[in-house]
Amino acid sequence: MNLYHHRRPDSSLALYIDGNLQFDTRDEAVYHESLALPALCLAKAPRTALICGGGDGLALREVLRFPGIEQVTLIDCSPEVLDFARQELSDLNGNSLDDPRLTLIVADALEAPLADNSFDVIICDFTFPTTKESALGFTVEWYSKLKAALTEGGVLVINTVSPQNTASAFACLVSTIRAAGLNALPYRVCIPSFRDHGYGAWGFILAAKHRLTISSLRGIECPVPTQQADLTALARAARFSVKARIDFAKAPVNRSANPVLQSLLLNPEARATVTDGDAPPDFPNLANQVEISHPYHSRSMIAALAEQVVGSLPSIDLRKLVDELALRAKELPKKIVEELNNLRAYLSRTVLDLDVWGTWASRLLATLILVMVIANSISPDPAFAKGGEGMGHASFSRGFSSHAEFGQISTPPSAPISGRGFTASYGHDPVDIYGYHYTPRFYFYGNGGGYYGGGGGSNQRDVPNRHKPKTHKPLFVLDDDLMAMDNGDFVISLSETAFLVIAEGQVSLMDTQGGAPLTSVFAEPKLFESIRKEVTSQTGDIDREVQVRKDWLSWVGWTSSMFSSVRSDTEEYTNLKDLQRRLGLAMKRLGMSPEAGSIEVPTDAIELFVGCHVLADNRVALYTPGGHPTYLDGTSMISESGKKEKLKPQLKAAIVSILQKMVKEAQRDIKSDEAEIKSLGNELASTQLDLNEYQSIQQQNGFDPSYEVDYGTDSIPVTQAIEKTQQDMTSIALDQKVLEVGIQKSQRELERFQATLQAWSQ
Amino acid sequence: MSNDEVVAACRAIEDGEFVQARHHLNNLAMSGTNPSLVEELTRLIWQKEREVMQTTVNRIGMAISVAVLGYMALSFQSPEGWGPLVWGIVAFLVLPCVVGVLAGNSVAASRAAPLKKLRFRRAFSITFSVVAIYTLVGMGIVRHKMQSADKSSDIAIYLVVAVVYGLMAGAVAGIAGTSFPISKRAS
Repeated sequence: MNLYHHRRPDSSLALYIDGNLQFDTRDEAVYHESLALPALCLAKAPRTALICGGGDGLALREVLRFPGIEQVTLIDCSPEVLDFARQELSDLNGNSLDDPRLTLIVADALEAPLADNSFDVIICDFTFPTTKESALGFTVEWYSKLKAALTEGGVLVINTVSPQNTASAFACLVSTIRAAGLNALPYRVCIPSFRDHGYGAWGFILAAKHRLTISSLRGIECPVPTQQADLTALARAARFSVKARIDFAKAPVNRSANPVLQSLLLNPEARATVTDGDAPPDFPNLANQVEISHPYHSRSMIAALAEQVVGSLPSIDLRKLVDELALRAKELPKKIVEELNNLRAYLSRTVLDLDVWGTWASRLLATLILVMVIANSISPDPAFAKGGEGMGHASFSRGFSSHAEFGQISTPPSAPISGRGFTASYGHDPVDIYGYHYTPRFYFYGNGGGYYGGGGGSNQRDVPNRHKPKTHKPLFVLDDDLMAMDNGDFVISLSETAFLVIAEGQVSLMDTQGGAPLTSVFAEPKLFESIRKEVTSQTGDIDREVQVRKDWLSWVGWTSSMFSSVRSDTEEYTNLKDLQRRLGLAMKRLGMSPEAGSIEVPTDAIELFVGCHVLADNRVALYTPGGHPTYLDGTSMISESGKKEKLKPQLKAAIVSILQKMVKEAQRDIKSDEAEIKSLGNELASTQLDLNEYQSIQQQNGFDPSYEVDYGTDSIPVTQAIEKTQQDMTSIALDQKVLEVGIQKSQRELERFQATLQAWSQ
Repeated sequence: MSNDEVVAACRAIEDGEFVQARHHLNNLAMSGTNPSLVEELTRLIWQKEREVMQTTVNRIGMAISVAVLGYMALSFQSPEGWGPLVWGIVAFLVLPCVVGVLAGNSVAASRAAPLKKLRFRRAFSITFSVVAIYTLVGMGIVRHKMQSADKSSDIAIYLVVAVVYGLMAGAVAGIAGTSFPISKRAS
């Protein structure tokens, strides 16, 4: 027991036991008079009294000064309080503890033996119950014992708790006394010092074996004067509201086996229901369900703890938790079990469905990823194997044959490599910048341009040993008919049997039959410039691809032993690097044209290939290095100086094969252009119909310029639509005209080539 | 008894042993110590816990920020662009060490025994995550640029490379996090 007193300068004193105010000398008379005198007044001729607790001697003082009192027994367990009362409170209690009528017993009142029917007045002045042990002085068992000790007309009064601050606990005590078989008459008194400490109005309960009513208090006449208490107001102090009286009847009984009093004192708030139908759980109310079980704990501490719990709720499987708690329901208070059941029902109906779906979705996703990884490892998708076969038409040579300007050679658009030509195909089949691979072809000729040392129009076919003919294959297709060879030469395919070899600043016409050149051709500087431009453009693309693969392999290169695709990437990277190197060497090997300018060609001549033109008289002008023409007429070769030689059969065959190819290409171009003209004609007719409709609409709407019509996917004013449609028609007509001019040109070329072929075949 | 409990409670609070501190506090309350003292100590525990939590959050935030910024800066060039040696040192040594020290020291010293394990785990997990993401993003960007190639095994390649790089950097970060304490206590 922790005893503390606070003495003020004015000699007044306040006594605290275990931190709770017991009395303040400034208003202690209110308390003790209100406690003792009503019981003494209501008892029938009281002679004997028992005071349980009250070691301060103040209640005893009131008993002793009541007339007729012959014997008083005071039982208190605390020698400290008794010593304090003797030493410090003797003036205040009037040395009551030394009164000869007093029998003082230092013991636990609950343990003390009490004779039946021995006391006319019993006063229970226990301290406020802060522990389970101290709450035993408020049980039905204890009150039953007091009932037995009480005489028939005797009255018991007990100091209780605040009916204002702890109404449920006060009601419990009323209920407990009634359960002990006593008639209870509760009343409350306002004690200023208690109010200042926040205790609220203080409650007492009178109890007796006989009936006690408010009216018995109304006419109370106290034979001794009171110092501070107003006993005439007791009847009013005993009047409680209907609700409070209902609570008295319904309140639980405080028993030794089920001590509810302390819980009610520590948890005075009415605890609300946690859930209400489908409404979300009310977590503050849930926190209120947690009982405060120790006087040093507070509701704010519980709330702070609950905040942490609520914070961690998202990581808890609530449904499982509630299920587990419900399994242990027998160990929980009934109210909490009800709330748990409510919560479980709520959770099963609403919120946790999403969580369950989320869990299953993540499991499904993980399984899907695993399945995909395994499936991809077992059976890689073969759809990645792109690429095509076959050598395309000779558009590069056609470029030279069809157009006067080398600059018009079409440059392939910059596009990423998408085939697999740089892996397995590279080095075996020709590949282009897109990675597509072509049917392998072989070219048999002497190495480089040095095998024909002549020039000046000579058709020397003597081959030095170091330039012995070998089979060469294209490594890289720059355009459909321009190829970089494996030895660094550039080859332009002219027909199935004829081709040009370009290297070291020279151009040679070759056939597929022999290994030596048929003739050397005028090395047009623009041809070299064009090849250089083409190679530079495509090398840039290759450089980019090499860099990307280098980056990729820097991430994953070490996994090549695990993944075939990484091995394939490594191989492609190596091949691209090799191609890069080879194209660099080929560019060096290409050299520069020794020629200073262009050749003089008759205006009506049609180019067959670089340095070779078909003249109007069906002869073919072949320009040799230096720009000197040699005229071929199908049987002979006539030099610029008039020197006549027999046309070599191999050269004639090569020229004829090129002419035949040109005929085919011209025919195809004409056919294609005619189809295009036809299509444009249809489009023109359709556009004309649109125009007619727009004009009709314009007329119907009184030439309203703001009236809108559909034009393609837009909606525009009709006048604008008419204008645009007319522009479209003009554009289509222009395209038709261009195609017609193209057809005329192709037709002229076709006629020239066919006539030449006919003349040469005779 | 009470004084001993108060001293023990204060020491436990100072050491960040909050569970222990609460135990002492409970003993104090049961023994009937002045409630205001108990309440004061309770408030102190809350305050210290908040401070420790704040420090933890700050250091974790700093570790993640450094990791994200560091690897973002590193991703401006491919490993090849940085030079494999420089890239390797920065990606698997320098950054993981910095992140590991920050993340490892975010662990409050509440329990002595699993402290190293906890530090390692936190440094490892943060670094592993960031490096794995950095690797996946880096590889993804490079791979997107090349449309050729057999991409059938890409998912497996991504997973293997990201996990291996993450493990390497995470291990370095974990070791750094356990080996270089910034201070004895995070609080």
